[in-house]
Order: sequence, then structure tokens, then C-alpha cells
Amino acid sequence: MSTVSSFSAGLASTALATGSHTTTFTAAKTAAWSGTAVAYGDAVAAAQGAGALQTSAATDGFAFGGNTYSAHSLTWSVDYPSGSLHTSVDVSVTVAASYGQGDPLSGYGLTSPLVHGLF
Amino acid sequence: MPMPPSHTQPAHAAPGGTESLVVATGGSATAGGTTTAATGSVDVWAHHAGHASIAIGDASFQAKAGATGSATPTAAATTFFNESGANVTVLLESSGSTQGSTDASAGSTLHFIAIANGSSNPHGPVVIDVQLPFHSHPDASAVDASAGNYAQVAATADAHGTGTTAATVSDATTVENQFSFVHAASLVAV
Repeated sequence: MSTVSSFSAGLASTALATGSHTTTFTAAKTAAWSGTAVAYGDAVAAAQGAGALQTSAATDGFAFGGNTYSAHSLTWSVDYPSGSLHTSVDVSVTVAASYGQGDPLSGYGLTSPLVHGLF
Repeated sequence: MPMPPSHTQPAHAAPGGTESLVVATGGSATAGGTTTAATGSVDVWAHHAGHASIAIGDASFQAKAGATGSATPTAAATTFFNESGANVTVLLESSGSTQGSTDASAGSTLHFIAIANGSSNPHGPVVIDVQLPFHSHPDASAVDASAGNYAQVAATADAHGTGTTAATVSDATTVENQFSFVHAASLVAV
């Protein structure tokens, strides 16, 4: 989770796979600076085997601050037999962002740059 | 300005049917504010060919809202998909939302395909040849959310084969200067 001034972002990603052959992957990345907060996360769960399989991939995130909040998520699930084996794959991706009413240069000490004489 | 929901039920259950694939999908959209628009559509097509059953469909819901003064607009949209008896499922679901101080929007959509291969050889080949009719989906993005309160929803469930079931349910509600709400779901059993 990242927090700068009144901007913050957080994300959670989980992946669960049960079966004889399984793999999972998760990623969660956040960034916040004055004026913008962004969160990104993905989760992948895959399982293959002859027995019962279960896969679950979920992501959820938030961004706070500013006057505009936007979030998008995408989930993709495939479950199919392949010969005597069964394959199941779940993918989830979430992006959240918040922006507006901030000064992106405040962190660099340039909030009040002197421009007299430049123009 | 609510519009009446639509229902299409080309097929009905045959008593004693032996459905092996059951699919239920749908969603809802809610928009709150002085000017609101909520739309939704659900389309499901299913076929039972004796040795295999297939269901294909999509659901799409959108909400837009605007508010003036100190009021905060809200918009939310969700979709869902449940199945039983499928050997093969492919599901793609996408959702998003935007929240501003004077406007808000949200949308959610999903596409799915579910196949139940009930043949004596479950690993045998299945040939799928589907020609779907075009459906015109309500779309909140095409609605002028700056005027009035609007809600429109449509749900279709089309099942082919003996012993099949198709059912839909939908609701559209608006309250002037308050909110718009739509909900719809389709169920097929083949």
C-alpha cells in the first residue's frame, strides 16, 4: 500500500490451485504521489490433473484521493478436459487509479517555482 | 422514463427432461443522482444435440449518473455467471468504474461458453457450429445522462432441443431525480 499526502492506493491479489500439478502467481504494485495514486495487481492460478481440480484467482484494489476515481478489472477463466487430464486456469487483473486536485511537483520542492524573467 | 423490460422464451421445459447443462447469468446496474441512466442486457443461447450440450451468452450492464450541488453521484454495475454440468467452460468478465465529483459511470460485461459432453466417449471430438442472431444491446453510453432518469433492460434465453428449459427475469425502476436501477437474469437447462 502506498500513501502520499491525501492520496493512497492498495491492492490485494490471491491465487489458489488444487490438483496434482498446480502453479500460482500473484503481483500487486501500488504507487502514490501528490496528485495521483495507482494500484495494479494480477493473479494467475492453473491446475492440471486427473482428479478434482479447483482454481481461483482474485484481485481487488482501491485508490483514494483527488476528485476522480477509476477502476477496471478483468477475469478470465478456462476449464477443459485434455485427454485423460483436466485443465483449469483462472486469471484476474485489476487496475485502480485516483487523480485530480493535486500538485505532481510538490514532492520535488517545486511547488512555487520562480519563473519571473523567463517569459 | 422507465421502459418495460422484455422477455423472450422460445423454449419451455419438457416434463421429465434430462437436462445435463444448467447455466444462469445476468447482472444489475444502479445509478444514483439527479440525472441517471441504467441499462442492461442478457442473451443466452443453448442447444442440446443428444451427445453434447452447449450454452453461449453474454451479459452487459452500464450505469451513468450526474449530480449537481452537494450531492454525490454513484454508479455501480455487476454481472454474474453460474453453471452446472459443464465439462468445458470459458468465461471472460470485465468491469470498470469511474467516480467524479459531478459524474459517475460503471460497466460490467461477461461472455461465456459452456459445453457438456455427455457422450459415451467423453474425450471424443465435439464439433461446434453456431450461428447466432444479432441482438441489439441497450447501451448507457448512448444515452444522454444529462437529462432525466432512464432505465432499460432486456433478457433473452433461447434453448433448443428436447427436454430443455429457458427462463428470464428482469426489472427496471427509476425514481425522478433519485436513481435508476435495472436487473436481469437468464437461465437455460439443456
